[in-house]
Amino acid sequence: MARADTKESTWSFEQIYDEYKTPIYNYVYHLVGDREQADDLTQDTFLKAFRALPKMDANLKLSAWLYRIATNTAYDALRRRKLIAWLPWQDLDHEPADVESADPQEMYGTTELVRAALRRMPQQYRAALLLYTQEGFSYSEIAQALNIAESGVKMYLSRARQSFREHYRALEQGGGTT
Amino acid sequence: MNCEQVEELLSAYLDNELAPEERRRVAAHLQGCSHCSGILADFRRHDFLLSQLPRVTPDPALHTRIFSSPEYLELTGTFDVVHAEAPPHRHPRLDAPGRPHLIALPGGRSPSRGGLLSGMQEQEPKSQPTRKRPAVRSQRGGSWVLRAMYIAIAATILLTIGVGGYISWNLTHPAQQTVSGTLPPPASLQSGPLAAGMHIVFLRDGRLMSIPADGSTTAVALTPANVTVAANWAISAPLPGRSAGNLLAYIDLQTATVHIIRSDGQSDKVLPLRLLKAGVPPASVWDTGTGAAILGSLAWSPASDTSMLAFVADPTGTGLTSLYIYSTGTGSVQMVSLPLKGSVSHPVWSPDGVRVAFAFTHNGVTSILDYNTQNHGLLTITNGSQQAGASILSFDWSPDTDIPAITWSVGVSGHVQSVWTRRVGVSSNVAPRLLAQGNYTQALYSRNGHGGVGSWLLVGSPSGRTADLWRADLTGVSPVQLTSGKQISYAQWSPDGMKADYLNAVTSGVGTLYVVNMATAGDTQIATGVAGQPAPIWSFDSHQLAYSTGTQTMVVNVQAGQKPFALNLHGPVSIFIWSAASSHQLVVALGDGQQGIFLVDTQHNTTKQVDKTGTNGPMTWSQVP
Repeated sequence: MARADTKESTWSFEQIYDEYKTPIYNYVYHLVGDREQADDLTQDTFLKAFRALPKMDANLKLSAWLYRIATNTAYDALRRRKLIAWLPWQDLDHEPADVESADPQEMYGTTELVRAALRRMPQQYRAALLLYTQEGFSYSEIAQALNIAESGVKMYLSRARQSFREHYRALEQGGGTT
Repeated sequence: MNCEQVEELLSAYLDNELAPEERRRVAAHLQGCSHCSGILADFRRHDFLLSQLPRVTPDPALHTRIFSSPEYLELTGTFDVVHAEAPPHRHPRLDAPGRPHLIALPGGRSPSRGGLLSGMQEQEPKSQPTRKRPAVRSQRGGSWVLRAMYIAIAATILLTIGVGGYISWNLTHPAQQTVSGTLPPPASLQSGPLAAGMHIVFLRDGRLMSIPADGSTTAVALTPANVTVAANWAISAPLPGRSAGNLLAYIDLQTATVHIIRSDGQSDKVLPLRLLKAGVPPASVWDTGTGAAILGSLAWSPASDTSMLAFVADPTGTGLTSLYIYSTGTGSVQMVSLPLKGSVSHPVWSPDGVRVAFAFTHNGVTSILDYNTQNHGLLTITNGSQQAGASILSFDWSPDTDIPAITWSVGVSGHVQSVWTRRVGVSSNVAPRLLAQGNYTQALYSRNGHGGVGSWLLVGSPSGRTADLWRADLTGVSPVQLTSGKQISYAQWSPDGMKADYLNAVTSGVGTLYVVNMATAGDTQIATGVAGQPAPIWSFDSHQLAYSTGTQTMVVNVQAGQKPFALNLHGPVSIFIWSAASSHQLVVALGDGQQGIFLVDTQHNTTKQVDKTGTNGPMTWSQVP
């Protein structure tokens, strides 16, 4: 059986998958907003990890490293996604009918609003915010997962919260522009 | 500290990541600043909302998919054992370009490509202009080893059925004599891709069938035996330089899924979205309004870097349909988010493939909306205010891609009251423009009409007292009367938008066939005793018309002013279709008499039977690359 030695223990690939499949899948799903693509990205993440693990240092922090692979894999996919994306509709030309008079709660449930606001954010800020709020990562863990300096995490999260607030408020008020 | 400085620190303040002195100064500012306190409260609330997002878990099949993938097997040294058995299953690409054009309409009716909001069940597959090379990702889930086994088993079964069927057919049906000889041999079903070239495609008994244009084999089934294809299947637009498309999209009535299959019968893919909620029996939905909206929605994009298929679905079981767009480039399906709850139907692509117009019904009022696939903008074209008791009957795009516009007809079924147009885009604050008003029985739009600016062909009159032909152009000038004193019960555009044919004084389903020049209004009688069903059909070069007298099939070269001649076939026509690649080939399906499907060389008036059963259509052309 294929195995990998990490600082924590010697794990089989299947054990690694079983341990991390849900957090990694949940993370990439919220990054890209699409289950089918999340399937692909999760598969790519684990296969990349399995390929690289035998060459990695035994001091490897497996969790943060897996998130880094997942993040980069998702970023690549988002870059490739040119035409139809899980981006918001934007009324660039004129206001859609009935938006102003519509009840926002009728338009979107809260979960949909949160997801829609996430999708409107720049991807690097989205990743930082998800790792902090969804995965419960510390600044240090976020820095490792995103491969940035710990001081950069502070800036990322600040920008992320500002961006999310801007988009969420716009959606709450009836889907305004970004 | 001013607000601007504090705002930059609020996030770190919330996370307790500020130095003590900095934290104290921020706290002091917050005590006297409701603006910054409000932002901090928002941050807290949003963090909570984000933490409460439902966590999603992967499908158990993903485990199988990863641990039986060629990459994993190769990684663990077990790849070579199975490598020779089957190809890798992930992300196979169609190496065949797709492109359509020229769909055969049953009897040639309804050249308008707009989505007709009424009678959607009868809607034919949509014809679209050019497109580029697509690539379709495989259906997800399941190991490729299992997949290979399934394919092998299926191939064996199908081969057995094919051979068995052929033997059985020969035992019970002595070869039937046709005008030009015996039937061609049956092709080997599903045992390999079909030969390159033009093929006729049609639906029979829930399966899409294909016959090569050269008549070298009889009909073969394209779709798997375990699916039931719904009537409103659609073929992709032709690539530049080709005459017909290569990708067929269809809905399986049993599983409520959209499939895409190549025209050579290979690579049947299931799109990764159920059209209905799991647990909802599809058969209970198809006869409802939701079912009709779904079944009538398949629409391929015209030319673009990536082929896209628009369709509507109700995967959450709310009874409301949403718009989805599948991209052959990414292999994924994306939902178009709308700001209101309502039902989407009848997506229609703009000629440049950038925009999708669709009908949106909200609180009982149907509007036309436009979705821009590039900037994701959503525009309202009509909001129902001008309908006054009537509803939108059909809509389509102007051919002008620089200044896109949508045009639509309003009324109740069989009574068109008005036709409108409205520009889409930057100057979209321009109000809808009324093109014609009156009492018309038909309003048929052609993007090629009036020299390619788009035009409506109207049957009736402004007063509603006569049934003549009128032309209303998107340019907005007053409608032009084309005939006088006629009782026209049906008309249609020629494909080039230069002419129209119509039947006058129809009694017992038979009338006199005329062709009118749309520019000069020159009116020419072609023949008497012409059947309305199936309607006459134009050749794709708009030079010839084929029509039925009920017992005979006739062809007339209108362009050359020649007299009609009868084809060497006897029996009532159920469907005919001109070749998309040759102006001398007609395909005729006969219901009775010489039942079957025949290829007709109209230049030499010879026929070749290629099928014994026939079809009720519609037929279309595909081109296997």
